[in-house]
Amino acid sequence: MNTALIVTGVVVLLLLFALRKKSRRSFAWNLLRQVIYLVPRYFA
Amino acid sequence: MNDYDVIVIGAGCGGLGAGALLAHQGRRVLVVEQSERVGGCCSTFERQGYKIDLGASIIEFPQVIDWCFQRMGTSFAKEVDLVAVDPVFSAILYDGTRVSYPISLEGTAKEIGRIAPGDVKGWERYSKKMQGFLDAALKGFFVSPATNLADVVRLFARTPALLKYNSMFFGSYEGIIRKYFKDEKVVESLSFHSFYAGLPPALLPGHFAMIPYAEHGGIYYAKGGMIGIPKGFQKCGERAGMKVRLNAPVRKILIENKRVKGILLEDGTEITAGIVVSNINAKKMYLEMVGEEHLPWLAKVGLKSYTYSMATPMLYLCLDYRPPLEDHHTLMTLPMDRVNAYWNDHYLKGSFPREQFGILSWTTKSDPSLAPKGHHIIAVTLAPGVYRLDGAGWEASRERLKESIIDYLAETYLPGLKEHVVLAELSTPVDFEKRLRSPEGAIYALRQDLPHSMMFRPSARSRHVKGLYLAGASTHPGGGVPTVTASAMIAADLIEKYEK
Repeated sequence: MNTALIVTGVVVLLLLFALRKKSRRSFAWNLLRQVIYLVPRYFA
Repeated sequence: MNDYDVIVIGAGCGGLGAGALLAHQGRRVLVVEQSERVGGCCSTFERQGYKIDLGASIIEFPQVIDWCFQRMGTSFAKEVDLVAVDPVFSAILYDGTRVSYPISLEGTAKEIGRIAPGDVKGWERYSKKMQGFLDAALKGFFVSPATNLADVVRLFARTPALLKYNSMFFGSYEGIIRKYFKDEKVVESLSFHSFYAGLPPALLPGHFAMIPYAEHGGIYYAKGGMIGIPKGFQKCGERAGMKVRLNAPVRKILIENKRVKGILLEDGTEITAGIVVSNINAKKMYLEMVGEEHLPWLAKVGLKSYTYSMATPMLYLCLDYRPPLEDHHTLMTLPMDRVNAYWNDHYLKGSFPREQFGILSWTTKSDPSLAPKGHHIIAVTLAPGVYRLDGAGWEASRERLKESIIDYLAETYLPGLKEHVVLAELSTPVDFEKRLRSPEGAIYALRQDLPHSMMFRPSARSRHVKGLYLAGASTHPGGGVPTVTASAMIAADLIEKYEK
């Protein structure tokens, strides 16, 4: 349980570090919100 | 027997390039074009003795276009009268600082050293990285099909060097530029190039950060106007028997048993062919010309999910004085953070401000014969302008916007402008839609971020209709004159492989 919490915490911290800049957050968000379309687009 | 072997819809560079290559394969080719002239976005029209470029005002990556001509036993330089543009561009920064980047890498390093000595090393590192990327990308990425996952795996397997640059695909344009340059003025001078691919620096994938570097490989203007380039393809194709029919808008692509059998023109004429190459917006083509009844539901969801690329209003200025500029291309820039903010605060909200940034393309600098003696032309690529303009809309705002932008340019970048305008015409996204039949005036057809790229962009070989192929900005590798020329080569290769 403790290990899972630590790993989750580290992952969250790494993510926060990677996305500390606004431009990175908007780039990541633009990709993320289109993920659901990747499968239908593959068949377009 | 069919009327033709191949019908190409749309006489832009992608359509004419594909048509010419297919004619050289020995096929009977007809290219149909809805407007009265060839070229699409890369075209030139005449007003009162001035030859004005509609959209594209220079070309980069001339080698890609040259490969296409070479396949037909000739060369770009033989078919099109080209003028080399050097310096590659100047920029007037927001604080009034002027920079001018020559074609030579050493000269550019010197210019960067003048405004930010600390960034010279960054320029050298950036140049080295981008040259390596371009060496791998041009042969591997540009002219290889990406119709499915297997194609993309093959593409990277053939050019494993591309894998070294994977961080560029998953980072942003801004991230790459800021990695190499620390000085805000240098960063600003390289900020507008992201719109050459249709998105602001924060949203555009990082591999497009090679654009400012790639310009140092040579940029060119076609003497007589940019229409010279599509006309070069047309000449080449016609020598091999290709026919071009203007003023022939297409209503439907005719399909029988899941295979194309020809096209139906707006005037009711039916023309038959076993192969159709679409060089128009793929979303419009599938949903309106093919028809939803021929598409599986998943494909319909995919097609409807595509976002059109940005639109760009243009202001064409014909002048009776020599404008106070130095070079063919002058960028009017804003600091990179403000360019990103413009996208969120203006473009996405539908407003179009008086304060402008963009490109001043002084075409008569490279070819004085475009205008009467002593007169000049500047085609101004304005800031991205959304199709659905807030308030009264483009049509009702046209005159007010035109006057206000001319006032702004006269106050800032072009002193004396107001007294010397002979002719001024504003082309809005709505005009582009009418002229080019490009939905929402999108200049690169569809967005060019990762979820709209490679195998996620409409496939160059249709998955749903046999004999239907795609060229142009809607398919891999995307929008831009050399890029759509690459798509023409890909379409011709696929047809040669699958349509014996």
